[in-house]
Amino acid sequence: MRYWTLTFYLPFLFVAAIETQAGAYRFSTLPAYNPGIIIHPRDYNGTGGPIQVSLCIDLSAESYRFEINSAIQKWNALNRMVGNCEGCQVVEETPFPEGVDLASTTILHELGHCAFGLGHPNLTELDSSYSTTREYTSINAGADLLRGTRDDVVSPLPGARILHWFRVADNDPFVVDSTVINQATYTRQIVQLPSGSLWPANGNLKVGEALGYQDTQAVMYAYSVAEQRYLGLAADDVNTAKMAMTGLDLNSGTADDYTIQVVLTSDCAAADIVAAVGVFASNVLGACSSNLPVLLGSTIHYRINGQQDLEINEMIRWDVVFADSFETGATDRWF
Amino acid sequence: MAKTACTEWALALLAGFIAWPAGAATFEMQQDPASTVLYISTTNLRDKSYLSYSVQGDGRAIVARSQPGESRPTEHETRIEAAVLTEIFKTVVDSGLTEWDAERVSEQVGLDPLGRGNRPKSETLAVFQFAKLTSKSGNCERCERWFRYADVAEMAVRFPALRELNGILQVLRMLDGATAGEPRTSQSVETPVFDLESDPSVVVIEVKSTGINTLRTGLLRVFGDGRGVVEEGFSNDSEPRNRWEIQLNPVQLERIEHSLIYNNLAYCDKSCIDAKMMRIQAGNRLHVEDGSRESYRFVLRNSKTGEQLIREISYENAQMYASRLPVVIELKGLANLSALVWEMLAVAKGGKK
Repeated sequence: MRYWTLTFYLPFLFVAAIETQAGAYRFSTLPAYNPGIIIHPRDYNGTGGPIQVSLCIDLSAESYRFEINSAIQKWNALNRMVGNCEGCQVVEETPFPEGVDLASTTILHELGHCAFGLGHPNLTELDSSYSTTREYTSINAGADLLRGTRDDVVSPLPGARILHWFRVADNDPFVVDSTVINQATYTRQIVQLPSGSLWPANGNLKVGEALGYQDTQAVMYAYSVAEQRYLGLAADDVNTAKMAMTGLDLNSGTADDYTIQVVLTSDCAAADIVAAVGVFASNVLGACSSNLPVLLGSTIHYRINGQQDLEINEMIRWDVVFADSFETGATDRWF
Repeated sequence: MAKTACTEWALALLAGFIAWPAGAATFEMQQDPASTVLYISTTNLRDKSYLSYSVQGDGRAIVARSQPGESRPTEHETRIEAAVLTEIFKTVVDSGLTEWDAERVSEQVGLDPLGRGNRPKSETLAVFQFAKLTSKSGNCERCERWFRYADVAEMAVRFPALRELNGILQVLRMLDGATAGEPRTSQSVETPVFDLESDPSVVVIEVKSTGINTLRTGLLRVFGDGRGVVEEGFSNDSEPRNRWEIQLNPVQLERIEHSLIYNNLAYCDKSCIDAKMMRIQAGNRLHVEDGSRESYRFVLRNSKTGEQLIREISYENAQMYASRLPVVIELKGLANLSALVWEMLAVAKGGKK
């Protein structure tokens, strides 16, 4: 257990305005959309059943096939686990990068965006000068000085866009139990927060420690550091994915419920997702790019529109050592 | 070939509706003098020469041209006769340019339309815009066609069966002929001429980049005499973690000026860039999760009037967009400036240059 000092938090406390990008689903941060937006797969039309999301590995990303396969298996299984993160850190710890970035970590995160329509379950702490399309509120870390815990104070309230979904019973993003996720058990209505909660607890490492979960963090948490590795999904990731799977009526066990299986395909033209190596700035790990979604039935239900790109940045020094041509000894792509 | 919503266009020209059938489709053009009905530009990426034609609905045409070595195009306005414009659009329709299918064309010449994998280095860039082409039924949703192609002249010779490529060349020749000679209007449009501000006390450019997932920031700030600083840190830091003073050499300063002026950032602001991107992406701009956000601020001086031009642009993922949409040359300018931040940081830290 690490002990945090007041000094450690001082820089954070002086940040007056912080973006509340506590989105559980993609596009919820865009002002044009209802903050309660839920993103469904491209092929979902309101009829329940299994849905396949096809992913094609572009030639440029062939070296990452193992990591892509591993990410697909984790998301398809939708197993919640505690202690899923090795080397995780929160923003306040921010060391300078040492070591290499793990491609598996970035691919797992981006696949959550592309295949399951998930957003970031946390604040991204970006300077408010980058404010062209996002809305801002102010928030402080509350009495426990831990950012993202249930005692955080958001303002203005009402007025803030509350984007984060939480468990009605306990506002616990990490607990693994048999609770069935649906609109009765999972919501973003802040009035349904349990007694003692002011804010939907975020799935970050320190919130987990405060709740008694060691080394646990949502894969969809925005911040990532070198050598960070996810062994599996956290409950927050799975719960949010399962909430979308309740379909248009938000009730579980009804005819519009669906399941998602990500499958590999060699047909990149027809694939729902194309995994490739992309060109970004040197401080970018990867990205998931999509067209704006298509309205599906009501103002909160949308589906993915067209093909998506899951890209990892060619500028990053990844951990994938044995690139292609391993067998022939062509080592120019190794490091 | 996939049909688009615009395949039922009909084409009418300036004096009423003059229609040409193209297969099952018919095309017409709006006469609005304020609308650009045809735009084509060619850029030689080797010698940096540039030529564009922008034709309005009433036949007015703005020709912008820069010779090799010139960093700024000069413009003049002229007028294309109605009959000539009719012939040009007939060529456009007859050569299939209204139904340009990038994937099919690329397949026929063996290139990846998404630019992935190996492809020849572009030497010529061509863009067409057919604006305000309306359907007779009035329900055309995408009444513009933008496309680009590399090495048009060479590829047209190598693949004579591709009538679209030969159509581009023919349209270019017709426009050249129709706009040759003295400007036919007395009004001449002169583009402002800018240089990078050289005042040593002025920050002439500042670029800051923040990664969404890494929260890493990089900043480059340069004064008019080439002195500068680079900083790195994290977005929630009150002070940068590391800071180095640097001195840019003339080549690096020229690169900045080139990115601002040759890549049109002196003349095109954020809304202008957005508008170009929206046109190319048929109004459906990509939304990117993660990636980076950049802010740019630069100061130019009008070499004739001495007035300063101060421009601030915030943008996301310029490098990604520039690689996907090379036709929007402003994105390339932003991408160059973003890349320079990290290059200068690497240099300052003693890493690779």
